[in-house]
Amino acid sequence: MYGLPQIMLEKTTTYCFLCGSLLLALGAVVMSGWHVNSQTLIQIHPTFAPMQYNTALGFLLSGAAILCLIKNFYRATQTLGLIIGFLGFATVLEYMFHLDMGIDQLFMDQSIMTRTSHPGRMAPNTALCFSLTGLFFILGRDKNKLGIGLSVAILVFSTMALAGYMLQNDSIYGWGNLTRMAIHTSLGFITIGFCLSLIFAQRNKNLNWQRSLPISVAFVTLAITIFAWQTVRDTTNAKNQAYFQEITADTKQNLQTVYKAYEQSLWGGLGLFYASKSVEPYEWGKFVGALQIEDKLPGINGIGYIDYVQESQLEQYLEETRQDIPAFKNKPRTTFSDKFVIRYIEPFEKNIQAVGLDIGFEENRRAAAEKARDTGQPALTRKIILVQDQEKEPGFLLLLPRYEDNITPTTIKERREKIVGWVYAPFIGKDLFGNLKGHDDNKLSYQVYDGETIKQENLIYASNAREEKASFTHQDQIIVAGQKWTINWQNSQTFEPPIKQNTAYFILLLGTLFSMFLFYVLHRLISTQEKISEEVDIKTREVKSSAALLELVYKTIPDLIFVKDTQFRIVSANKAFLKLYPEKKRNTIIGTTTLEKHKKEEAEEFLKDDRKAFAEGKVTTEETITFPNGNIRTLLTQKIRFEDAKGEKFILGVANDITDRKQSELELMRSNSELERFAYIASHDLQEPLRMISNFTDLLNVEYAKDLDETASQYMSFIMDAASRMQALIADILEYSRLESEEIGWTEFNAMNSIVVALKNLKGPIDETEAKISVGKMPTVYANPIRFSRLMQNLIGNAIKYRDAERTLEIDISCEERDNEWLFKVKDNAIGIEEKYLDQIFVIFKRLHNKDEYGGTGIGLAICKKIIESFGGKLSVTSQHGVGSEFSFSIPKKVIDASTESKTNESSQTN
Amino acid sequence: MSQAKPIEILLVEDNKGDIFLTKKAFEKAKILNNIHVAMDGEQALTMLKKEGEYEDLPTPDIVLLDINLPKKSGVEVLEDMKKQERLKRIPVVILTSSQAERDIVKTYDLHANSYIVKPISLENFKDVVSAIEDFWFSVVVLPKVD
Repeated sequence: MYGLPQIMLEKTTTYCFLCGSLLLALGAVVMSGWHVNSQTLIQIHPTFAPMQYNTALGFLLSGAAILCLIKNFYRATQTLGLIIGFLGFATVLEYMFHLDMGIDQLFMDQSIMTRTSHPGRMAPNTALCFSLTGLFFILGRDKNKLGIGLSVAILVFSTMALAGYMLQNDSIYGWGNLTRMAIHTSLGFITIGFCLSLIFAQRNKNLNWQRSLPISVAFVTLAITIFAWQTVRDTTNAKNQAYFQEITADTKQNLQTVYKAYEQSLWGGLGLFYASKSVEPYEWGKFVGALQIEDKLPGINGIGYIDYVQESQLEQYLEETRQDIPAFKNKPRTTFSDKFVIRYIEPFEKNIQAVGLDIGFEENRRAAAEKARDTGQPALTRKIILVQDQEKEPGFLLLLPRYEDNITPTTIKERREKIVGWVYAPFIGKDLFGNLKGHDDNKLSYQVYDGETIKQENLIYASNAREEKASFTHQDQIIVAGQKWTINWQNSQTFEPPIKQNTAYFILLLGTLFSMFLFYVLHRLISTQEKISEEVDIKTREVKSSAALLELVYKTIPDLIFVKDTQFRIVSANKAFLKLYPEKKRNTIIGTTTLEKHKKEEAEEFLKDDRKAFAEGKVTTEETITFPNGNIRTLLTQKIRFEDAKGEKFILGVANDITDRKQSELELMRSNSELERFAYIASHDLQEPLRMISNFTDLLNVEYAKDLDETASQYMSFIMDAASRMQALIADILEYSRLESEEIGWTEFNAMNSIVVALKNLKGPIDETEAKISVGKMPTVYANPIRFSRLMQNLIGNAIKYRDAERTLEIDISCEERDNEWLFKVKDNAIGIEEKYLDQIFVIFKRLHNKDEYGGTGIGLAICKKIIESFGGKLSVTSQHGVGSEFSFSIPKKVIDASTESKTNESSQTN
Repeated sequence: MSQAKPIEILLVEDNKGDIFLTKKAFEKAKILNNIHVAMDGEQALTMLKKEGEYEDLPTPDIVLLDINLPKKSGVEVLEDMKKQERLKRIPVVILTSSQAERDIVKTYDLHANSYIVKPISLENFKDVVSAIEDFWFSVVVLPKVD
């Protein structure tokens, strides 16, 4: 089914119209065949199965339904589908539940019985196919996965049947002993299957064909299973039947053997008559006694002799006989002109009622006697009831004729003239067969019927009553003394077939389970695959959109992007790259090395980098390049080797134009060096004159003190004061500017050590003010210890400077650990800062107090802030005027692993 | 020994105030000394090499060298001196108002013997000169010069 040629789909309507018409024609022709009784049309070949009338009707309706479907008459299609489905499904039910719904011969009395189990009933596979066909039509226009499963199943069943005809294996096209599918029925269903598949394919163009695979495969497997089951079952049945037949042969053999012995004993009796002129009753008794019939011939009731007597001679005969047997009587008196009188029979007691009997009174006995007389051979009566039998069981007589002169005359006429009498033996069926012993008597039961047919009134003997339904039966006929008997064997309860049917059922069960399993597995597999392919679809869309995005980035990014192959030719370049070349030359870039467009030394540099990139995988260079359009640009270029899907190597170049950045960097360096120059001037050139002022004022003070009056001395002190403040200012500015320009050494150190240094530097003021300073547990931090020390010194110094004279200064230094930083706090009980000034205190040169009140340059806290910023932390302050201030600053933690950190914590404790 | 021959000092200094103060400080020294003054770097080298009018100038026992000088800087003077076989053993004390780290490092790299920042107050300045005198002329044994 998968991948039906496109052209077929386009011409579906045409094909289906043809198929539909063909089916209509098939149905109509076969139906008319039934009406005119044409065996050729119905059966094609005399040994083939006939197409039933209902089947032909089904095809007629199916053809019509197909035509309706392609004309989009859905209502009509569904109605026809219902009828077809009912026809098929009802028959399936009939088979399953052994019913007769009367639909088999509803339209036509069946006359052809070739290979049919039920007259007029379509084959089970045919019925199944019609059920499926009907269901397909009922589904109508619905898109349904089932549709393809149905058409595949129909194709499978019909193709199997056709193959059965080809291979001449009727168990493929006929299931069990049931009616077989006709050859043209299989062809019809192939047509239907093809047509339905085509319609399904055309109407479900967008359907994923893979989805129909599980159900199709499951149907095929199921069909094979059913076939295998049928075949195994048939074979088993045949073997078991053969075995059963084998054991029945025993009965027949025994019967024949016993009969021979009986017949022989009669021949012996006849021989006695031929040997002596007359046989006296006691002589007969001796003869029979010698035979020991009760032991040796248990089935026989006795052996006797019958005289043939004419009516006219009867009285004379009776007189003579009474001389030997005084009580001898002829009974019953018949109107026939001849009499068949039993003269004696031994054992006498057992058969006393038979003595004197004219057996001609009854037609069966008379017929047998006459038959024996005419043929000169032993003859058997039909079934009779013996007069001496009290139980009235079925019995019969075996008669052997005796003629005059002790020879059998050659013609019937002579035989009739010369007949003298018969040696005979009465049998009772029960006694005869009841004493037959076979090997397998327990395995079977049998019934013996007089004649050729099984009729209850002809029953001679039944080992057990005949069952209507037996698993195994066998019938055979046996000719006993010219009389045909029919034996019917049936298996008994104890009969066990040598081969069990379990195998067949096991195959059916296993096959069904396997089909279901296969369906499940394939279904799962295909749904998984579909899921994957859906995911792939999504991924593909994502890739497409990301490819579009990449393309956009490629076009718009200001970076220069290019790809070079191993020959150093540019195979791709973005707009930004091409822009660096003169407009006219831009379309000549791709495919060339572009080397000739650059200066020789630059080109060599490119090549060197390219080779390195190919060799090492990645190269990063900073290059200044003169482009053909005259641009001189500094590029930071990364060249990365990569392989395409075919494994061919390329380098991807991404060049960032850093010309402007370079320029800025240069300017920054220049400004930095200017700043440094300023600092130098401040440290030397500004201090030089200041020192002169200070020194010479001092000298004046020392050497001319006696010449100066008080006012002059006061002026001098103003000059000195100004000079020293100026000196402090310069020192602070210098320090402040250094904080920006100087590179500092970063190291890990314990904060406590730096605080100790700061406290040492402040020893004088601390002692003087008797300040109480407490330092909490300090961590190991990563920063610059000298600056940290300076920072602490400034903060502590600040607290001392602004202490409250009224109370003892207390400074509390602590540190707490945060997630990513250490938070240090320096808390004092100094005068504090008014809230409105809080945001001004870190501004350089900003002072809140008069110089005379509190000395200082106003740079101290600005320096603190700068130091902390250089560590990457933050400085903040909270304060309450008149109570105290709390300066807190953070220092980021160095990213270190946990083990190191715990170690530093321990060490800080010991410190 | 100091009695026999005065210590020859070359003071390279452009600031007249400083020259005055230095000379004044050395006047009160316990050791007899002669102070020769060069007002710029070039003059200092000329004097050291005894060129022209300084032919008869004695080789100094010590050089007190400022860094910021007209014409040739103190660093250049130091560099030149240390290249010359005759001058390289003369101890050079940098006496300057520059506190710049790079000046300190640079001059020590050029084998300056010590670096002293000029103090602000006169008292301190006197102490420094006195310390130079003590250290270089009493404690340290200097090489003999021609």
